[in-house]
Amino acid sequence: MKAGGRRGRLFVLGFPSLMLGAFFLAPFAIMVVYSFYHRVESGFYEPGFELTHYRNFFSPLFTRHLLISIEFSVLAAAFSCAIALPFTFILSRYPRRLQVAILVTVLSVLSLSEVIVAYSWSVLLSRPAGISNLLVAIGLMDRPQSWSRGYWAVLFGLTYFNTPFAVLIMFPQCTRLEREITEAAQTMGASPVRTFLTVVVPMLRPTILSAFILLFVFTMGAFVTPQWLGRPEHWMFAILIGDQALQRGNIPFAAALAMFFMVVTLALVAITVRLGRSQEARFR
Amino acid sequence: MSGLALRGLSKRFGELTAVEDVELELPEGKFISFLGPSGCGKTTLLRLIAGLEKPSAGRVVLDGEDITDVPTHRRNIGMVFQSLALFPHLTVGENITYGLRIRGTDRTARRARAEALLEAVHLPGVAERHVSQLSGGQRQRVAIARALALEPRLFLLDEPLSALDAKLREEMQVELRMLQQRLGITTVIVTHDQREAMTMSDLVVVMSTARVRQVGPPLEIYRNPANAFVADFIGTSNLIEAEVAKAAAGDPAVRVAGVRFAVERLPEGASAGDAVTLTIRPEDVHVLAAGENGPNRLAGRVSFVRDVGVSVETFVACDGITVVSIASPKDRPRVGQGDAAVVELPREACVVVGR
Amino acid sequence: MRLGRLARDTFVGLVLMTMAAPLVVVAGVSLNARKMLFFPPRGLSLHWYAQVFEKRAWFEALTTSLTVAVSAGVIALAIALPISYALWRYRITYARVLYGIGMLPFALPPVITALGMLIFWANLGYVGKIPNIVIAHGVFLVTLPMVMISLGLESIDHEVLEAARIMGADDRTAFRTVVLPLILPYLVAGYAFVFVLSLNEFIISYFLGQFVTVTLPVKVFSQLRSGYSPVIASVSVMFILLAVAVFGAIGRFGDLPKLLGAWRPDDR
Repeated sequence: MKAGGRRGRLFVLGFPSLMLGAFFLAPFAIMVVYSFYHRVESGFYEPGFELTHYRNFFSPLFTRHLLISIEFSVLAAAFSCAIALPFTFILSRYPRRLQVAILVTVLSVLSLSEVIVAYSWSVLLSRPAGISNLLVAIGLMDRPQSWSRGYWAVLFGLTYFNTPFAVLIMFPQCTRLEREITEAAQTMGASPVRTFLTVVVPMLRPTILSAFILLFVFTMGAFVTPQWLGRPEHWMFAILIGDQALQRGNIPFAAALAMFFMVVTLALVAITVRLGRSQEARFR
Repeated sequence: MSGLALRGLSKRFGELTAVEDVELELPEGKFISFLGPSGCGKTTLLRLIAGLEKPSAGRVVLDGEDITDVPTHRRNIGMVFQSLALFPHLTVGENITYGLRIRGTDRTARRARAEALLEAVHLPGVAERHVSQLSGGQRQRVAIARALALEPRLFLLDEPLSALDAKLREEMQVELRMLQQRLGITTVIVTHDQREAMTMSDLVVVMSTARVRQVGPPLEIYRNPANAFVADFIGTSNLIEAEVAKAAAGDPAVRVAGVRFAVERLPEGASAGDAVTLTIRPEDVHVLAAGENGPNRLAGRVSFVRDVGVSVETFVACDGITVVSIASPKDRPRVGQGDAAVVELPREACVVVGR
Repeated sequence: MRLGRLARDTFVGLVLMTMAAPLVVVAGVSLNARKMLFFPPRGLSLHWYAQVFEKRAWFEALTTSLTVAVSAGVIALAIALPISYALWRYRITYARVLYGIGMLPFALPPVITALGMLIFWANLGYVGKIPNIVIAHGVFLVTLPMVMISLGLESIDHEVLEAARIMGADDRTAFRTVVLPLILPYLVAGYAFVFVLSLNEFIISYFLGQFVTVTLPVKVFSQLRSGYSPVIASVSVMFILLAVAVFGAIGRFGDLPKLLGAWRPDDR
């Protein structure tokens, strides 16, 4: 250990500390403070301390939107995990070349902006250019229909957006699943499907849980998808925050909403983690 | 027609040929070893039998039934993997009865069977424990019990003892052998340890570079290696360059460094002047004092003596060839390092193989 | 057995097709000669692609996005690398704390980060400028490169560093000559990810840009409000092609599965 080595080490962390502290933690702290500010009628706000904003939450409107946000998030996370799990497992067993090709596809889809995804699906589900035209051509439908602007469209869009992400989260653990374990199950009479359900899934349980939690949080932040694929009643919480902050200029209220949102999200995550752990305990 | 038959079995992975044209008839109820150096194809061959790999060519026939196209989960074989592959999320008992559960056996019957199998592998009462709580040797036994749970037609093991320490290894070798004899199940074990193969097997299949080099009972392989590879791989052997000597009929001989050596047998189709290899086990070589000439003897000088307590190894350099002799302490040769000496290669101990 | 394999591959194929479906449609729409939203396209034209470069509003959005992405990548790496390195090399608690903080941006819904940053900058009286978004992205997208670099560092045996030290390398030299070359693929991949993600990022750009500074996704968003234009589709296609090119390059020249955390039996 060189003298001054300790200082040197800390120095290395100077820039990151500055950046994260000043541009992440500080904004966060300020937001907390702001949520207590007083809003003046003309559209501005002044420093103060009041709980008006927090009280405003418990109106039926916000409660409804909070509930639908949770509903969408839970379902979209669950669906995308269910699709991604077999997909990723199969992917992990493919030869390398094919793996890379599929991963590139998944990554490319993943990196797409929510804007583009929502736009693309609104096109695909629309009347003039959408899939329904294809089904009419085959003969399964009489007339093209618009499937956009609805509950299922939103759910579909959210699940779609999540799935590549789920694949990437599950990928490392899937590759670590020893081939010999699934082969052993086969020698004992388990068909591939049975092997997947009785051996692979139980062994991947922790990964599935983490993926679910991460996706849940991720989906809660959905902004564009519900706006373009759904109707105002389907708007999720992040949209409301944006609306308050940008359209109505009511920053303190937006800040309060954001805090509330974060608390609810973290609470749900904590509950899920706790549930997951107690399941593990029962396991042993 | 019972037993396992492999007909013209080959497996290629792209450019690489792992198994080439294997033709084997393995009798039922015997303990068979696939023996060879790393990369010789023995594990691939085992996996072909298990159905975990699809052959590029050839058929696998078990008890007269062609099972080549039958998927693994319907072949009814028991297999112990090199990594053991025990299910970490199940208890020992659940691991063992996994296959029975699939077949729909009820819980009481399963539990009884698990207990019985654990007794058979000398590991009673651990059914409720988790795999992570067991030692390496114990896990080994659980893997064996699990493989036998469904009373399979074939029992396959892929280097099952390689992870164990020496003492445990030897114990398990004996136990496995005894288990197999008691159950009478056709067993194939893959190993690179020739002592293991020689100790446990009824039949040894020696392989190298994707091909089968020799098949036979252990002693046969040791005494009569079919070619230079087997002679070299099995036990230690002297491999001496020689050429077939002009001989009268009924008196086969080779020339080593110009000296004529009478042998029992020459390889098929060998004619005078052909290059061959004379192989002889070091324990069959006699080292005598200089000047004691006679038939099948070669003069030289002792280059090195190694006394390892249980045996004495004498290295004699004769005209560019080194011959090694191993003797027990009481038969120690009377010549020491640097002395002139004579080596005798008795006719009945010489095995001549093609070069 | 063959049937099983067919079913398995069909499933994968279906999922992939669904994933890629919108991209195909959008590509088709972007090539449509007429302005209407038709698919399959009637008459092909690259007209709308040219518009991205010709129309000033679109071109500005494009350059803004690129500027932000290039810079944000540098900042994100500059934050991520020291933290990951300090954690791996020195194991000090403070590095662990920073690492934890670095994980946060990804754990929170972006709207919260966006709002927080908006308030912060508004307070300083400096909003709607490019540096706002650059810094915001650099901080927000730090999680991914941080995790990747840590992954890369973990695969380096500490003994390698010790060997270098025995041969006379001090900390800085060892870092430069041993660590850096070994983690270079992870650095490149991390940068590529931040670049692509920044390019596509919407919420933060939307909040902070305040319609003064406009990135491409924001332009698409506002454009759609006022009326459909196929330029949107061509922009989408350009994004898609860029992502494919970047990740394809990584896949071709690097070990993509390993970068994403895959483990092969011959790894330590």
